[in-house]
Amino acid sequence: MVFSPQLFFRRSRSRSHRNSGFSLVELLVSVGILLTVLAIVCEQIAAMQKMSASEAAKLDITQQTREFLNQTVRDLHMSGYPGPSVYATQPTLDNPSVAAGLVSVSPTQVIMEGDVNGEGQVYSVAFSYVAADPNDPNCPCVRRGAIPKSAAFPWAQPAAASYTQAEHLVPPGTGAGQSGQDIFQFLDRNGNPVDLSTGNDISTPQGALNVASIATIKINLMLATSQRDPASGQPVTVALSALARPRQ
Amino acid sequence: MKPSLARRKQEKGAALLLSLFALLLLSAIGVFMYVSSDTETHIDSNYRTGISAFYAARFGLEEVRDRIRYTAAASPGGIADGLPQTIAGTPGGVLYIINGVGIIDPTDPNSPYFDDQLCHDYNSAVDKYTKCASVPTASGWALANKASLTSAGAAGSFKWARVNIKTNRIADPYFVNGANGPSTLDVPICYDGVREQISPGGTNPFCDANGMQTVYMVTSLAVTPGVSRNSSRRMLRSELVAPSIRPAGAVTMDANSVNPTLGSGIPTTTIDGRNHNLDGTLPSTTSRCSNISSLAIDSGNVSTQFQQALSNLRTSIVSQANNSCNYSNGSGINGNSCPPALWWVRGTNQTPRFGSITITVSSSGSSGSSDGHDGGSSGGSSSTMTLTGASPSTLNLAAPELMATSATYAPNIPAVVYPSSQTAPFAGGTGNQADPVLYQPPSASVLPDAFTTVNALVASASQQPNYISIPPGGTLNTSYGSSSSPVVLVITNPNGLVLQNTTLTGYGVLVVPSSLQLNTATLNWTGIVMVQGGAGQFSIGQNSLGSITGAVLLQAASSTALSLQTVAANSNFAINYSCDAVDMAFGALPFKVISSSEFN
Repeated sequence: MVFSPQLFFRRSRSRSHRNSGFSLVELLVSVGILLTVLAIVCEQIAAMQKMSASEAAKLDITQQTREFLNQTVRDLHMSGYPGPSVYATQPTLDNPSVAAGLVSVSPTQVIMEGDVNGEGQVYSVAFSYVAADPNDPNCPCVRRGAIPKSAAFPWAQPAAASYTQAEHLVPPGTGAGQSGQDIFQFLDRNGNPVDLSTGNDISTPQGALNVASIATIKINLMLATSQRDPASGQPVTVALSALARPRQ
Repeated sequence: MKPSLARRKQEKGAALLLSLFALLLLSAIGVFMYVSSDTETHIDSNYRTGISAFYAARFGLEEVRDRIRYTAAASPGGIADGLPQTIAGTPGGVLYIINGVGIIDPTDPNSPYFDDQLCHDYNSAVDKYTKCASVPTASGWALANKASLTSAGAAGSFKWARVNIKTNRIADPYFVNGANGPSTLDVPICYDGVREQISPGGTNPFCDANGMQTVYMVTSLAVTPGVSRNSSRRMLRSELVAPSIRPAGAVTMDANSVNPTLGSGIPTTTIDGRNHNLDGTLPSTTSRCSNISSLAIDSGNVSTQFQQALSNLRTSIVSQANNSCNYSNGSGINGNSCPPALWWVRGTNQTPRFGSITITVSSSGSSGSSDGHDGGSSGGSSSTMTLTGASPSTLNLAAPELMATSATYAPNIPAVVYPSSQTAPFAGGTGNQADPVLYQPPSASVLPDAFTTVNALVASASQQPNYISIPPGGTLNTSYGSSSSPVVLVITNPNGLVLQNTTLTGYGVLVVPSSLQLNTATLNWTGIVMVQGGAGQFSIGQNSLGSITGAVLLQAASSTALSLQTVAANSNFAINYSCDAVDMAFGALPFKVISSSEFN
C-alpha cells in the first residue's frame, strides 16, 4: 500500500472537524480527575517533604550526638594520663603535669583530668548538663569544656570559656517529658551502680574512694528536634548511649 | 481503529509531563532518603568499627599482660623469660607479638600495619609529631617474633603488640624525674611499688638489682577489616609492671635508725642475696632475676650505723682468729692451729693478715691468755699491743673463704678451697653500688614502697580463704600452705612471735608485729617474712635452725631501732633471696597497669 499524505490530512481534518471540542461534562470530569490526582500527588509530596525534613533533622542530631559521644568517650579513655605514679617524686595534684583522672562525678556532670589530645598538656575537662541558658536557645544541652590545667587542685580548676555541646537535650530523669534515665551512670568492676551518696569527688577521702571504684561510665543522651515525626506527630528524638572505661 | 493525527493532537496534555515530573520528584526523594540513610549507616558503621578496633587493641594489651606473667616453660605462650633486656633501638630491645605471623609485618614501612610509633621510643631524631617511616638500624634490634595466641574472629582486628622497656625518652614530656629529663633520656624506668623511678643503674636496665621492677611499655595496634572509610584503626599503650616486689636486699630494713646486734666469731647465719630457686638451691643456668645485696637499708644515717656494726663484726672475727690460733704452719697459740676459715683470716705467716686491733695481754701467763699474736705474750703484767697487718675493715665478709673447710699453703694468705655448699656470711649482688653486703637506694622512698606493696597484698587477701590470722594465745600449726597454695599468715599479738622449742614451716607471707624471735627453734619459710612496727626485730637466737627462702622485710616505727642478730651459738640459719619465692607469695596477680593512653 502506498502512503498518500494528501489523503491522510484530508481525512484527519474531516474527522477533526466532526469531533471538535469537549463537552462541559467531559471537561469537568477531566479537570476533576486531574485535580484529584494532583491533590494526591501534592499530599504525598508534602508528606515526603515532612518526612525528609524529619529524617534530615534526625540525621543531623544523630551525627551531632555521635560526634559528641565519641569525643566524650575518647576523653574519658585518656582520663588520668599521666598519673602521679609515673613521677619519681610524689607530686601533689595541683601540679599541672599530673592528671588526677576522674575528679567529680554526678548524674549530670563529670569533671576529669587527662592529656586528652596526647600533646603533652594536661587538660581539665568538664561535661555538664545545662538545663537552661538565657543566652542560648539550644539548651537544655550538654557541654564539654576543656582548659589547660592550672597550678591548682583539680576541684579548683577554672571553667573553660569555650565549649562544644550537644543541643536540645531531653531533660534527664524519670518524670513526664524527661528521658527516663540519667545522663551519666557509674558502674563498678562488677557492673553494679557505684554508691556516690557519701561523696562524689576526690576532695574528700571517702569521695576519692567512691570515685576510684568507678570502672565504667555509661553516657545516655536523648535529644529532640523542632521537627515532628509525620507519623506520630511527636517531636523527633534520638537516643544514643556509649560506654567508657576511664583509666584511674 | 487508530486515532487520527488530529485527535492525537487534541489529546496532547499534561499527563506525560505530570507523570515524568512525579517520577522525577519521587526519584529525587528516594535518592535523598537513600543518601541520608547511607550516610547515617556510615556514621553508625564508623562508630561500630571504631569501638571494635578500640577493644581489639585492648585485647592485644591484655594478651600481653597475661602472657608476661609466666615463662614459656611454665605454660605455652609465656614470655616472662623472653622480654627485652635492653632499651628499644639497641639489639634485642623490642619484642613483637603478632596476630598473623608472616602476614602482618610491623617492621615493613610499606605495610598498612607498620609500627609508625617505634621511632619515638629510641633516639631516632624523628620529631615526636612526625610519624615514623623507618626502623632502627641496629642489627637484631627486635627479638624473634612471638605469635599471638588468638584466632580469627572478634579479636582478628588486633594486629600486633610491641613490648619494650620504658625510658625517660618515651615519657617525654612527662619525664619521670621532672624537668631534668633530657639528661637521662635513654635511662630505663623502674617501679618501686608505688611510683616510677629512674634506674639507679643508669643505662643498665636491671631494675631488680636495685629493689625495683622494670616498667614495660606495651603498644597495641588494631585495624578493622575493610577499606578506607569503612575501616577503623586504634593504637593503645599501657605501662605494665609486675605486681610483686623486688626487695633491695635479702634482708631489707626500713627505719630511722638501726641497732644491729651482730655476734662475735664467724657467723653461722648466712644472708645470701644471690637469687635462689624456690627450693633454696642456686640456679644451674642464668637466672631471670638479678642478684641483690644481702642487706638493704634506707638512709645514710642508718648506713653509717650498719657499716659500723659490720666493722665490729670484722674486728670480732679477726680478734677471734688472732686470739685463738696461730698461723697454720706454726705451733699455734696454745698449740692451736687455725681452722681453714680463721686461717684465711689469720694468715699463714707470723705477721697476721689482719691485725690493726688492740689486744690486752693477760699477766697470768701464757696458758689461757688472750694472747693475740704468736710469740707476743709476756707474763707478769697486763699490757696492750697493736698487731701489725691490714685493718679488719678490709676483711671481706662476702668472701666465701670465711666458710672454707680446707686450704692449701701459701706464704701469707692461703689459697682456700671451699665447697660450693658453703656460703660467706654475707653474699649477693651489688646493685648500683660496689658493696654486695650493704645496699642503700638512691631514693629513700624505695624501701618503704616495698612494704606498702606487701601490705596491700595482705589487705587484699583479708577476705580470702588463704588468709590466716593467729590471735594472741592462738595455736600455731607446724605447717602452712604450699608452693602452689601460698598463705598469708598474720600474727596479731602486738608483742610479736617467739618460736621456742618448736618448728614452723610455711609458704607465702608471714606477717609479725614488732618482733620475731627464734630460740631453739626451726623455721623454714618460703616467701616473704615481714616484721613491722614496734622494734621491728628479727632475732636468730641460740640453737636456731632453718631457712627463709625469699626475702625478709623489717620495718620499725619512727625512731625505733631495728635489731638483727645474725650470729648465735649452735645456730645454722640461712636467709636466701629468691625472686621465685617472692613472686609465689604474690600468687597469680596480674601485672599492674601503671598508666594507659591512646594515640590520636
